[in-house]
Amino acid sequence: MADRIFITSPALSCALGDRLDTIRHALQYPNISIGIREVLVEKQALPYYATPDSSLDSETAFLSQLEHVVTQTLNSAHLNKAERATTGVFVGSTSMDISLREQAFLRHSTKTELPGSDGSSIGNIPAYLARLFGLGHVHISISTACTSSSIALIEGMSMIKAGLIERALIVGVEGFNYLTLCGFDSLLLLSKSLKPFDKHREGLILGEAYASLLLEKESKKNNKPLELLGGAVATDTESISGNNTGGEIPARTMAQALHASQISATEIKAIKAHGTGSVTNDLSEAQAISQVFGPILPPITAFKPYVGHTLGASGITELILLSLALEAGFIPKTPGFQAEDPALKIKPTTHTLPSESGAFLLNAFGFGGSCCSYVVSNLK
Amino acid sequence: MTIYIQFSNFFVCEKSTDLTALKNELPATVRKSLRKSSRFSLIAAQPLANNLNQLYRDEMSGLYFASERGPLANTEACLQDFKQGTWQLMPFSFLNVGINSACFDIAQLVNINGKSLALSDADQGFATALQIACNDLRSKAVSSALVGTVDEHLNQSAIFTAPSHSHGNTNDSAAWMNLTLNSESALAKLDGIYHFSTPQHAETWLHRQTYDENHFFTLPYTLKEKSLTPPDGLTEYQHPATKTLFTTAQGVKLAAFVKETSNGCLFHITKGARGAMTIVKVST
Repeated sequence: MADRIFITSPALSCALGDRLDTIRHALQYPNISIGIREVLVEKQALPYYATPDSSLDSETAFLSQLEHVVTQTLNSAHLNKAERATTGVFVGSTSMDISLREQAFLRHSTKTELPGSDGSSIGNIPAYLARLFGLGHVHISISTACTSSSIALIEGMSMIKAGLIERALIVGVEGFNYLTLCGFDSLLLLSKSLKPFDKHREGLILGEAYASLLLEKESKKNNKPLELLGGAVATDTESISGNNTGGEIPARTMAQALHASQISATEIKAIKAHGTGSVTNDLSEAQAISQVFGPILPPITAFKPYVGHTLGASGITELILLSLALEAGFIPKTPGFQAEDPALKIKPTTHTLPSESGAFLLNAFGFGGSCCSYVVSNLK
Repeated sequence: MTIYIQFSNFFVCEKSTDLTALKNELPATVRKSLRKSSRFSLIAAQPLANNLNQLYRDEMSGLYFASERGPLANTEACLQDFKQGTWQLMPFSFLNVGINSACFDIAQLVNINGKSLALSDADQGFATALQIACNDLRSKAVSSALVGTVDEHLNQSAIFTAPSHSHGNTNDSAAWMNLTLNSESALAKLDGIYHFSTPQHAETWLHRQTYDENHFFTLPYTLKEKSLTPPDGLTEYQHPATKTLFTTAQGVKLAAFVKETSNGCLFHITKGARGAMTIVKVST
């Protein structure tokens, strides 16, 4: 029998806070002004979902928040030294350590490397964490834009199933940096409000997040961890900055994820949409969902109005948000949604719903045509 | 399940080679589709652009793209603009800073809609990309795999530190290999990918293998002055193109061996972070 892979020991620092109980409460009783700040760029104020200890203000916040979430995950999992040594490290991020390099260059005109680095590489974060926490010798950084940490999750599962590691530490990290904020501004994708799938959606608001969890064949502590059933990755070569609005490749990705998970569309209890709030990407995702699920849709929820678009970290950040809600028996509503868009044929849930046990589909789509979908289950 | 290498090619160029010169190396049809691409993407495209008909691919093919630093010239150009007070970026100046953008350019060039991913794993990114591709081929997640590695020179980088042993002399390079489960017309067989937690463990394993005059090894530059001594009887594979490469050179050496050697066996030794070692063994 194939190994079953469980998602355990989550830890998260995002605009909703860095304590899981606080974050869960905010999902249940949303107040969408939480965490939104304004960043001044050339007299222009750009909204941004900052963490409580944002790297916006501090040169040390990036590493301290990264270390904080990983410490929480490893402490929660009670891994001994030998178990840590057989744990692979997978980091998903769009900007990797650019927060540090940008601050060093802009503020001090210097170069910087992560402490203890034995090379100069964007892939140094996993090795840094492995060195700090005594983890194993598999260290992989995935940088596929907004799908990065979702694909890190898929690759972690694949490496465990291939017998190359016993368990995987999956980390999603996206620290504040001007390069990303100004870049998205140049693409005219930023908005003052975030309204996924709304008729009047105008774009997205970026955010920072540090997220961490383990993939394990069994859990020492949590009696009801989510199981990662399977996933799929595909590439839409239509445009570098968005998927085909017909949604063909995203639909294929979802269908393949269901197939890999041996689950039918009718068994999905809810969909965690990518839901960026951008005009074309929401259209593409909506078309894809309709193609896969037909007219009878499960509840759809989107989390970016809570934490912003945390780019490469969004995959496991939003997985952790879903897992916190499911543990407490609810599916969060999508704040900000007001008006249905007839072109989309779908709408996210506008009320907090009780959750059922079963399978849940999670989507992530990113620049460079990257599409990733996967299925988790909260059945025992 | 045996993995075969159907195609292998590499490209090395001087750091002074500009965008126009790189574009001129490409076929006209390709040049058009890459007109907004970065220099990094153009370097990545070089080993493939004139050989598209040699690549095995279908709708389930996967693309695996490794880089140690990504398009650093583009990243630095944006940061230099900020430093000079220009905060308004041009859209493609920003889009071209990500390795996923170059991955997209290659996916579009070779028409791959299956799985694609861009990754980094210090000096052994190419070996790691090969490992992931092999996992996916064996699990049937992909039907064939195009695996590549690309990096730009580090000579005047304002944000990345050049390796001390490079003496400030590094070049740009790219390497690609096409993997399938089909032995027909294959250039080489991928015998195995072996992982070790220390150079000493890798050395012990190497000393247990048997060799003849057709067996070769490659060593990463970072290990040359250090602690891995290959066994007697194993010859170092030298290729003139790799003399001024210090990171991605690892992938170039492997691709060059597969492309240019017949009836040989290579132990391609790479070093990751914290002393982790990977040995890729191929037979041509």
